[in-house]
Amino acid sequence: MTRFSDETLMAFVDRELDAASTAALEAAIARDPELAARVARQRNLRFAVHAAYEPVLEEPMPQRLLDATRGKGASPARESTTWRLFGDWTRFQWGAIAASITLGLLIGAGLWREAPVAGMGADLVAHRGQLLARGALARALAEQLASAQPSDAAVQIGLTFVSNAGEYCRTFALEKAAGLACKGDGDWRVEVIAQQESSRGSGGEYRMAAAGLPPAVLNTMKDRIQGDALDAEAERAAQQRGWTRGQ
Amino acid sequence: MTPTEELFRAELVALLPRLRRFGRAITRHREDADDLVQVAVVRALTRREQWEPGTRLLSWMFRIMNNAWIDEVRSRKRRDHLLSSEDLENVASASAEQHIESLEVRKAMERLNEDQRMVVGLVLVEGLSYKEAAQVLDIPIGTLTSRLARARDQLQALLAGPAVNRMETA
Repeated sequence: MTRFSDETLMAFVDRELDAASTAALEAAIARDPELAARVARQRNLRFAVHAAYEPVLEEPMPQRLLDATRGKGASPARESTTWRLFGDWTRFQWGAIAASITLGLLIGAGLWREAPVAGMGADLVAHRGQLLARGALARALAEQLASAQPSDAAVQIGLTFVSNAGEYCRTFALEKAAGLACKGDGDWRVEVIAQQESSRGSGGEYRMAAAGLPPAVLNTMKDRIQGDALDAEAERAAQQRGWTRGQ
Repeated sequence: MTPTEELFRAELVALLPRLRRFGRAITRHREDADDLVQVAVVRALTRREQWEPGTRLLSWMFRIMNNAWIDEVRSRKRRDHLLSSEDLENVASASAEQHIESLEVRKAMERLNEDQRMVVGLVLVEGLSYKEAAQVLDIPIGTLTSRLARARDQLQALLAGPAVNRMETA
């Protein structure tokens, strides 16, 4: 009978053995209780080590790490010359790209399939690297007119404009966030969304002026807007055409 | 902002939980682990153009963490500030009772050397293949497997006794 080395058994439990060796070892395990015990010992260790760190995945994500992906926040708090070097760069360089990182943050795990975005109810899904409006947000973008919307509507529409890509885009405000979405290929694509505390006035009345938008949204709008924002009449006409731009 | 850049950042956020887990395995300390992840994220964003699209971002991030941790350990050694394992008792936190075994495993991990914790972190904790792990560490596969074998032997020895018996009879 072949004597199997510990390294072979380790490779076996790591699924690194080729098919022939795996089959030979499996056959030997079936005949040899002592060998089976050695394999079990390796397998248990692998399982125990993996299990020991598994709960970390479920821990709440520290805000400073989320901030780091958005280019915000300082260097790590702990004393370290090595690490401190990197913090300064952060503030220096990242202001300009913070807006799109916000989007990246929200897309989160849903890169390859449609996935609800955590904390946004069913209103946003991530799909193929894009953030798409769904549910109440999509309905509001499609139907609601800034000039005639209830002041207590869950989604408040702000400015509507035509982008330099020739699409209709609209700013919107949710309870704790505001953003910009553009209509293309049947979906409202959320170009940017940023947190915004109390975007409504205390009395529930809310009126979105460009000045009230978070900087990330405002900057994206300034980049995209072609001409002026639509007035109430043009907004209504565009809505009635289903946000497609006829000639 | 190109779609590639957006994807990059989105992927980075999606990877954060695993980066933290790997950090916990290699640093022995919660705060160190999160600092390490933070440093790695900053480095990744500054060096984004060095990442080759199509290769696995997770492996690249592990590599950055690995290098950052080696730098940090060296710099701490120079300053005689390397944490002793007595500093590390709070890892278990509230779940100690339900997870006695996990606690013992983590304590055993703390007693491995840096190289051993890296290979165990990559292969056993994060489930990377030998090939991927060897690439992350920039070492031959043979070196990886022998390091891994030594680390495992040591873990088995450290865990020998009550904890291991419990696992085997479970």
